[in-house]
Amino acid sequence: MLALRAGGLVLPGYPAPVPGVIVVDPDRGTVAEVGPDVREPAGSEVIVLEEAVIGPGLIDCHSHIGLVEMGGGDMGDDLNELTGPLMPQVRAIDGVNWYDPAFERAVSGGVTAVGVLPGPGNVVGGQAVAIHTWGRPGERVLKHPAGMKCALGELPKRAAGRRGGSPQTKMAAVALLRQSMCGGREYARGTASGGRAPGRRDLAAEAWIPVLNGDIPLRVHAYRAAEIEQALGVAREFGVRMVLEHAPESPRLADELAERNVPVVCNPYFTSPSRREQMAAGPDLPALLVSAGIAVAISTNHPEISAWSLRHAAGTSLRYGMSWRDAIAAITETPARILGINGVTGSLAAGKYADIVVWDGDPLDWRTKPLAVFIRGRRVWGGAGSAR
Amino acid sequence: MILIRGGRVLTVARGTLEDADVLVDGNRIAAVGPHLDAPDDAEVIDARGKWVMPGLIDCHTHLGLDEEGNWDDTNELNEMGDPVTPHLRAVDGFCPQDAAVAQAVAAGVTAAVVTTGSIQVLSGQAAAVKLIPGASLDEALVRSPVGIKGGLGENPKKHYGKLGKYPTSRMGVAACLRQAFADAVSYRGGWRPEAARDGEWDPAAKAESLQPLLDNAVPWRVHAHRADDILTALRIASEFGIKVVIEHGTEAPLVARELAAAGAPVVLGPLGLTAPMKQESCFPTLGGLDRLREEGVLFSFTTDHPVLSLASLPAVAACAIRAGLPEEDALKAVTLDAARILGIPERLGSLEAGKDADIAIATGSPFDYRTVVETVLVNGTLVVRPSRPS
Repeated sequence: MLALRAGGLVLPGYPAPVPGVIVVDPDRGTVAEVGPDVREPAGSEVIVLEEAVIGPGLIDCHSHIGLVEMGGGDMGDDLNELTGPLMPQVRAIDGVNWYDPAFERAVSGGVTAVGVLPGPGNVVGGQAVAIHTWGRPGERVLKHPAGMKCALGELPKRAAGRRGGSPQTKMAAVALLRQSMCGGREYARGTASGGRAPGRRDLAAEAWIPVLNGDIPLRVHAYRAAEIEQALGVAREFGVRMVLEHAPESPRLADELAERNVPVVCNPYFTSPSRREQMAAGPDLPALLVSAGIAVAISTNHPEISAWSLRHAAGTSLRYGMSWRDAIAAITETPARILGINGVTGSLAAGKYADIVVWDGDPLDWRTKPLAVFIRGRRVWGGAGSAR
Repeated sequence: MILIRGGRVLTVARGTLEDADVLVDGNRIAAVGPHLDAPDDAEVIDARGKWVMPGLIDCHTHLGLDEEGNWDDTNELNEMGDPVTPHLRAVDGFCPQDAAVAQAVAAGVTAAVVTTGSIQVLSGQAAAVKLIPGASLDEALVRSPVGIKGGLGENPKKHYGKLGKYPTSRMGVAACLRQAFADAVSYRGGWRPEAARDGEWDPAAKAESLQPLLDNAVPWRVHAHRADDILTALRIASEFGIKVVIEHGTEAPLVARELAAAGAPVVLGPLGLTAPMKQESCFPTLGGLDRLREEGVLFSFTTDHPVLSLASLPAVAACAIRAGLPEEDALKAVTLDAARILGIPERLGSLEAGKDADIAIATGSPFDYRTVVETVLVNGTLVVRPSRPS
């Protein structure tokens, strides 16, 4: 056992770091015990870090890391399968380059898990995957599929315009989404009833089954309020869970989003809008949504900003009314829940993976840095004997 | 009968025998050992002072498809209009009169796998052929199919990306492939697709051609350079319970453990002699051969003919020796291990009684550029004879 006594532990429910001990089981790669009243077990290796703050590994639930490779050019770009508007059958897990150098940067910024989403070029972009940022590729997958990426608004229209197909209009985008989901529902009913003539296994239709079953959410890229309403309508019609991505105009629909428990994944506020639909984006979006009772995650949208800057994006929200506790949750517990991996990571808790960051101060302070990063109990960043 | 007398016999399967004989009866090896008895009328080849070894095998070439002198501007490898054509057979495009056959056999290469290309997701069926100058197609053919060929990574991305035609991304390539395999499974379960529309290939023919893959009778032979592409191949092969051989495998050393766990062989190359011209082929594979050996990954080397000429196969393997591979392992890689990868080890790849009499007799190590290959037998027939008195 490895016991770390820290000047501050970042724990769920605590409004600020509290002194305490975290005990790691290195064989299982999990947290054995953690809390302000935990004592170092007899016989364990004890490290005292009075000045340090130990928190959970950060989670970026909307990233394109590994799909758009750092310096990879055209051959390293697998973000979108742009040849048609409906691609539920494609999987981010098949496009991720596990060796993208951006993963090392993510780790160096304390990010230990990411949700990799196909891009926004299609109405249905494909299946997301949740992975650790370091380790042997086969051991990194936390959940697949972890969501179905969809997009409304300007981008799928733009791609279709270049291609010369649909959707040329916003109404066609919604119709196409509904058509694809209807296909999945018909297929699921056929599969469930059985006894038909031997059928074809249709991977595009099959991909909708975990969405329709409620196992994974729709992850809907939508900027304008009208598009958000249209997405909410589709989700209600099919009885599926939904997460809103980007959504700068979501405060207009705050009551409905809160009532229907629709989380919102906010962009970092470090880049300037490049499209008309982005104009409403403001730095106070996370705080506004939290005050309305909506679960908020903050993402880098890597490569919009670099994967390692996740906490900088969350830290910025403090200037615009977000509480420290809510900002921490937006890059740990909430994204873990959105990805469906909160049972194994996303907070310091007994039994979860020891995905841990030792910080030299407040994780949300722009000026601090990780001293050491652990994934599944293995030190992957910082100090002698680290993985690199 | 032919008696090859008194040579240094590199059996590959059972070590090296000094001053030993090889007896050939018809198209097979009858015996290997010291001082063999032979009938009086047996033809005797004096191999004293010479090295006697199994003919070399390249298990990934485009021989006879992209013919020597005619491959730069033409394409005989990929029927690219449709990304999935597993029903097309390399043997139907194979020209046994390719000038490269005579050059390669003169260098001691006696067998090759002829594969379709890697631009398509699934391009066709690979065939194993013998290198016999002047032979007919029938005489040259050993077996077809010996694998179903396809491509991951930059080739399909680049080609279909330019056309804006599915699939253009790694995600799309994998999805396209998975649906083709799923169709083969559905077909096996009784699903019968509608007839092909005009200008399209028959989906039933495609599904039927993939049945040997589902039976594990032949492997999926997949072009994959990058580690993530290799892992995608292993993932999909495991989903469908099919055998897979990784072709090129530039970054294979990074995932040696995963390859070993999956029991997937790798056909490495072309190594050492070519300049990497794609992003996916830049990793220094030769520096990682030890990783593959430590994990017990089965591997061979390829010229990818006509990328390098088939006759340069020993030079490619020699690059691996320079990088630290023991010479006997290099020879095994391009003989017996190649035969295991292409699936006919009971006939090819070593000097043992009962195997095909594909034999090269040379003045020294096959990996020494000063060595002259003087005599070559294929199927027990002399196809290369000494050009000067030996």
